[in-house]
Amino acid sequence: MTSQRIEALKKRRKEELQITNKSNQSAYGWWLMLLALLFTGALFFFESSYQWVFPIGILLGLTLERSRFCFAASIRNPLTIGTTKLLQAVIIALIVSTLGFYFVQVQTIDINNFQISEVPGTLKPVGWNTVVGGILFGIGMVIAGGCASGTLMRIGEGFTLQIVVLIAFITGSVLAGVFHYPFWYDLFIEGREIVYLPEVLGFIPALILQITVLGLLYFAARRFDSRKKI
Amino acid sequence: MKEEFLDCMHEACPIPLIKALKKLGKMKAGDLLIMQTDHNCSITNVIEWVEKQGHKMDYMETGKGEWEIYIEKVVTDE
Amino acid sequence: MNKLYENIFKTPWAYWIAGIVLSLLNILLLMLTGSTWRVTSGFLYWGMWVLEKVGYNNFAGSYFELYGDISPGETFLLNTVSILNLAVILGALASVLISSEFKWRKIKNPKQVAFGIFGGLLMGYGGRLAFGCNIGAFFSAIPSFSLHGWVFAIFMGVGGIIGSKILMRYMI
Repeated sequence: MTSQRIEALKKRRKEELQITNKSNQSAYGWWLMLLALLFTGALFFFESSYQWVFPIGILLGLTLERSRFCFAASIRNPLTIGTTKLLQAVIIALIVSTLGFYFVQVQTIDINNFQISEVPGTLKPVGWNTVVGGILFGIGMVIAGGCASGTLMRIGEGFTLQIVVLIAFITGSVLAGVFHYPFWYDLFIEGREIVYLPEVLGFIPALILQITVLGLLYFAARRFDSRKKI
Repeated sequence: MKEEFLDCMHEACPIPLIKALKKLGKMKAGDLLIMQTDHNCSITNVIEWVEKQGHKMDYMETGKGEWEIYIEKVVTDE
Repeated sequence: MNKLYENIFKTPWAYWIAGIVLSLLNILLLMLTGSTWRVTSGFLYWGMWVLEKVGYNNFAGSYFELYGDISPGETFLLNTVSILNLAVILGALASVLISSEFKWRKIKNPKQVAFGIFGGLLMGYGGRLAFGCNIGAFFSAIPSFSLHGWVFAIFMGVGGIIGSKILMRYMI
């Protein structure tokens, strides 16, 4: 919310800095979108397996940038400045995704007779590797000033630092995924199973439980935000 | 009724926000802070925090990908 | 009409709206391609492409050998996740150009670089252990009803707390 003094200040600064709205980058942006559209058309024409992946990726990047969406900030902000708007948005997103993914899953498999490998989605084994990996990732994303999606977004925005982060990210991935993987696999991962909640709890109970937990987290985040913190 | 400048150009997330926070903490009610930043996040997260604290604010683009955020401190930290 | 254009392409979107849009896009991705949004497996593959280029190709016992998801005809450089990641970068670039906010934001000081490198290494390493990042092991995993998503979320939070403390102590 602005004030009289701020409006006066803006006017003064505009003069002092001699701001004119001369050049415009929009044209380049629209050309890029047109190229993306044409490229997508070509992918469809040649029935490429990337025909949906590419345009959806473009829209994901656009959405991230338009809103400055950052998962790292969703965790960092409550701890440093006491705001949870991003965290609330992440939780809402998880609720919407949960409903959507549930719908896709029950449409795809026979819920009375299925293999976990048939379930659409990202399902991976869980174990101590998840714990260690989670902690390392959480520290890294706050320190680096952005998570994986945030890094991609910021490269698109022109941040050269994020290119350095990406190279380090790739290096870390290779260290863990190639050179050290046999060690970690042996220690934590081998033999671990995927835990698919609907298999354990039943489909409807799993859905209700997950939505309820997310809903409670959402309200908790809202309450946390309403407390003033300097 | 002081006017203070805060240059946060080329700073990485979340430095602009933290610097603004600290600077505002040292200012008195009625003071104005002019914060210069080129980080896209700043115009969402600084705005979010400032409004929550009850200060008055607005921002203006001063170049391609550069902004000035104007904050008028309303409450004191008593 | 002008106000509408401004609201879509100039003023930043509200976080909750973006959250819903991201979810809908992820659901579409799952419905139309059979796989959800993921990011860091692509980074691993790019790294393995570099390794191959410098002559290293002993991938026995690696993540790729055990869990890799590259289809025949795809390479470490060009595969589904690569295209997805490149498209995200391009989408962000288009967005920032349309709003005329693109700027080569250069690095200010070595401390930034150090933290960026250290943070990137941790993310790459931790993400590989956990089978994914904030997208693959969290944003796509929890809605998939996989327990690893919830466990990752909790400990990503723990890591975030530790990281925030380090940040406040050393960066300011």
